[in-house]
Amino acid sequence: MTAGTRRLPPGRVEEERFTILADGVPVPAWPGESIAAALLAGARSPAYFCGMGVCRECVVVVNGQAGVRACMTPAAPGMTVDTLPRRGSQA
Amino acid sequence: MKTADIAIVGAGPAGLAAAGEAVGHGLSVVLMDDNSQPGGQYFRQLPHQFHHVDRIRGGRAGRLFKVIDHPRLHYLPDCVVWNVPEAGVLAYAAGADSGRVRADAIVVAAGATDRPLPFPGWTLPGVVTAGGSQNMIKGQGVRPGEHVVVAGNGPLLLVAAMTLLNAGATVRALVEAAPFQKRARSRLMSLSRSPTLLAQALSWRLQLAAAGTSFLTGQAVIEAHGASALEAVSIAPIDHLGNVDRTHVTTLRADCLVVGNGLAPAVELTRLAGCAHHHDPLLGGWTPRRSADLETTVPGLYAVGDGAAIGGMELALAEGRTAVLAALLQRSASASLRRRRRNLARRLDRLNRFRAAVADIFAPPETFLGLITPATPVCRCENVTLAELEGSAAEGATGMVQQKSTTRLSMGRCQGRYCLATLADLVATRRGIGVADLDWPRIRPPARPVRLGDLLHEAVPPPALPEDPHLPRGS
Repeated sequence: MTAGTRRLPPGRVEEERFTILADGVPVPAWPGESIAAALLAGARSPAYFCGMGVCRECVVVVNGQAGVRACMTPAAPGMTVDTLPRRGSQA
Repeated sequence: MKTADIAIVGAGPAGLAAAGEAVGHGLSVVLMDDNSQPGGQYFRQLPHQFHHVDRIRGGRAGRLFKVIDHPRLHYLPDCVVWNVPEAGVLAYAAGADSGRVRADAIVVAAGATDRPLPFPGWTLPGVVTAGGSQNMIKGQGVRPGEHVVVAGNGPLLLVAAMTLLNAGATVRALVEAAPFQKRARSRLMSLSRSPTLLAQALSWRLQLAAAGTSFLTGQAVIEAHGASALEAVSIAPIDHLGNVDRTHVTTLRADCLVVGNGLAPAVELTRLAGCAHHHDPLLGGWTPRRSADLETTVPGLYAVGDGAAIGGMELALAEGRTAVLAALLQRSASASLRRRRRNLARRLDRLNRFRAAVADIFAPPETFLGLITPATPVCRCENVTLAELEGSAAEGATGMVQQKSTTRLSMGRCQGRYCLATLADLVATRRGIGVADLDWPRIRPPARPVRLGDLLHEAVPPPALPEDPHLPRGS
């Protein structure tokens, strides 16, 4: 598997690719990549808005710990990520 | 408690410039930053784990970054400053290293956040801020979408569009609410003081146009469509009063909509510290009152860069240096310090005039409230719609604080950063008064959410409490 169409060179080498489990689905990630970046590149349509740790829309539950900012937290091998139901309606 | 001559909040351009100036004059510095790498939003870099990446080393940015390794500087990355518990002290959360810093002078260079404004569909996944789009590309090497519309108001939209184009995205349209062309012509003279920036802006416009981007000026996104993620964007003309012409709607297919209406300074810490603020839309909204030394009304507390008043990277660098020099001059007034301070003052004047010219070109419509429909969430976190706010107002909750307590607007996890300015506009319009005269909710610690577990690591003595009358005496 390649780095995927949304990922841009340079930076990622194939040997370092690992997997995180997002809502039960395996999603590839690379060292240094934020959880939000892995979800976005993995076509998971994550909540991602301000991208600088301020709006907290991207918060997820990581390995059972709540309130983790997906845009500021690097993915790690074997990490279990649970996204939250969106409170905002799609008005 | 850590101690230093100067404590700096924020390792973006302003904070790094302040730190460089301080260590250069022999001062000790504690530099705290919410990110894991220095640079802030402007100099955001790919993660250090990435390979074959050209790191910022040489040039002006490289010199700025060098301060991180200086022996007199203590750098605390992944660190959230959450309170100003007393004069000269900052409380910060950084996992097991959480604690407090006491310093002779504090420089707040906390940066800014995007100011996106509500419209139907703005909570759909795929709608991101200009800063969010920039950071996903510059900081993560991931394209936020394939077919993108960039919309809002202000000079950052062009930067966001160009970054997307360079990242291989198709930028379908750049939708600017200001009637840009007319004003641009009338203000070209004042901008020509900065020919490099002007030439760059023109070159980017040409490159985007050549790649098929439509430049829609005097228009705004009136709705983002999609079932579970963004699928299309509707655009309509908006006049200088904010009236939307819904008879001329263009709809474009897009999987990403980048929105931005300028930036707002992060004034939580200066507000918590008790500094006086005033409201100036030209500077991004609430901004601390500052002397020519950039000192706030709290002695020894300086506010610089976009975290105080929106002015861009160049101004941030000059402000960061100025604040440290001013603090130094209060201790000892050497001729060389005075000379450097005077040179910086001239530079600040020039950059402030440039800021005024840019703000004039991008003067937005008087209001964007016409884009909000009754079903549009004004508060994203608590999902409070315009209809709910109007309902609560009709029942007598007419002030900002009353609207907040009856609807829960601004009580969610962004702490009101993305809704209070809109609520202020709504209430001010309804009551026919200025936003600065409203009852804005007061700010309380923590300035930003922190993990309680982090604070347990703080080595703070237990507070002196009054004797509990329910306990036996002497226990």
